[in-house]
Amino acid sequence: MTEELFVILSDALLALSVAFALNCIIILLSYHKKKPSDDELLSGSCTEFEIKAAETEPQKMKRRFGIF
Amino acid sequence: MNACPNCASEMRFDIATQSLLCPHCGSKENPQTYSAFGAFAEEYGRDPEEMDAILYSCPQCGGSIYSTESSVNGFCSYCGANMTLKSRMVKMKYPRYVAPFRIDKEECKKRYLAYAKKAFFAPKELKNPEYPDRFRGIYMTYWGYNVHMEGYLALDGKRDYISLPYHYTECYKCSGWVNAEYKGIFFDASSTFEDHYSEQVAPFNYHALVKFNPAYLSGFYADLPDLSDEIYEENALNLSKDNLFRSSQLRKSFPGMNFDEEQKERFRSTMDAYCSETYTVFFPIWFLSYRHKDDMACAVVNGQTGRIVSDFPVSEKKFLLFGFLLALPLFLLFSLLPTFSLSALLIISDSFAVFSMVLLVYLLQKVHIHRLMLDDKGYLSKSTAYDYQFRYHLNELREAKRKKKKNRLPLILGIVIVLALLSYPLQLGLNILLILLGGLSPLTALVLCIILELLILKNGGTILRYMGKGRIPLLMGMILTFFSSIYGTYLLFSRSGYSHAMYVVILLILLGTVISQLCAVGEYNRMVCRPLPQLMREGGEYHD
Repeated sequence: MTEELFVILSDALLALSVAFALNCIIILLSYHKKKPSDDELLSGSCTEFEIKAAETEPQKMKRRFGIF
Repeated sequence: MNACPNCASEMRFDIATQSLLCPHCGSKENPQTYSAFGAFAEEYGRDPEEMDAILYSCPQCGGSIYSTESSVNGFCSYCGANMTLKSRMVKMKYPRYVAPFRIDKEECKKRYLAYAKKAFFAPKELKNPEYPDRFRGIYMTYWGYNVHMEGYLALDGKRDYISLPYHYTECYKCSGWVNAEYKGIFFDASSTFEDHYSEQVAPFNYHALVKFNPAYLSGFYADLPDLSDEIYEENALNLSKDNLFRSSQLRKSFPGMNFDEEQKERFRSTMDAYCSETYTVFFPIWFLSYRHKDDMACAVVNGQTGRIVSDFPVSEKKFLLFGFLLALPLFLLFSLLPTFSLSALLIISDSFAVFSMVLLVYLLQKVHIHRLMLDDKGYLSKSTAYDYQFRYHLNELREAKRKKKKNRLPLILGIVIVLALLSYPLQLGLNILLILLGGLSPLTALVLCIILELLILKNGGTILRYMGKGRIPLLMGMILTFFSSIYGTYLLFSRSGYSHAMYVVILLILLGTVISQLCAVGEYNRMVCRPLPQLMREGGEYHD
């Protein structure tokens, strides 16, 4: 009898704990705020730029075995 | 006062028509050319950059806003207090530009209510359709920076390709001459307007700026700058440099080239950039503050774009109600499943205890940063008293981050050991099933318990560091969980676990976990709310 009571109580508390944990997860996921990226912050700005006389000069080449 | 040329009634800025509108005779004036104040200033030889305004200040928090209106509803926009605001006539220095309101109050209310509807756990009163009536149209002052960048660019680029069986990396020196101009990088110039609101409600459109005329202020309020333009100058320079570094134009100039983070730092430090111009701008914000117990939270709507940022606290009643409703089917499900073995139940309880503690650590750290306003550069720059704390805690956070990186190895090793132990009798998936069904080997159970115990200990230590006043239930829950789980592990180790004592231990761990989860709700509310502001201006409770 006592054992059965313990089983019921532990099941009830476990269920409550899982439910509260799910609630917490839902709340935290909804809290996650989207902060504008740096580029988004500048999307309202007026931007003009140019890169003149762009040059690339080869330096060295590394080779390693494997595709990664 | 913006008097109507026809009937002398007070004209107000009408958002729909973007003009000054007389509510009595319906005549309209262009706010750009409306010159009542200009003529007045010239006539009396006053400084044309100043205007008469009424300063309203809150006797409770010291927050102040300016208006040309002589009657203001009796509540404070900063702390939400319902009281008569103190008022006096002042000279207000006005900004160079203004971005007029484009979103009217009705639209703002509609957006707020749609946003609030999604916040399931928010208190009922915040979803009341009448609640957003307290939205106030405030022109917030921002510093505008124009950045000029010119100089020699030198970067090390890489180009990768694969030609089986080899992977090739070609290194190049990339050079060129950069000439760039960024106009309109904005940062809020008021220490009362928190950085996280001003950042999230951005961006504002530079092209919508018009020259300021006091006529734009009619019907609205204004918050004046109290921060120097130097505070965000570095941010503006870095923002423009980073933007150029990531730009498609740079990629086009050096096709196929990859630049790593090291090159970004190099670009930042070597490229010459300076602020060619700084100026103040009024940006339109719909602002609503609400009280939650002893704290307050805000809703902010961008008056140009309608972008909304709002912090909704969680209603404890809703949390409990929804939790119990969800627990009911779960309880029935658990009752139908075969009974867990005691060792499995202990591990599951410990796992939930760890989850709650990790959650609490995350929340407590966030609360700590928010409460000390460590994430608000503008506020900290005004508050020299916090300088020491700021640096101290910043170092602490950096240290914690470094330690976290270092601590990854034992964690990985722990995971490997657990996986190895779990997978020795059968495959991993089968073993997890065995845990649930009770067929867990005593050795595996003990090892898992010890690992969970260590995690409880580690997180418990972190929680204790942030433990402050008013957190007694949290402390109780933690103590309950900690000592019960230690005793549970001992019972498992001594092989006398299959007794009533083990059940009591499990119940206590679960009880401690539930208490911790409920405390997490309180911490979440502390995280999204702020203590009532003490604005260090005349009238503030602490700073008279």
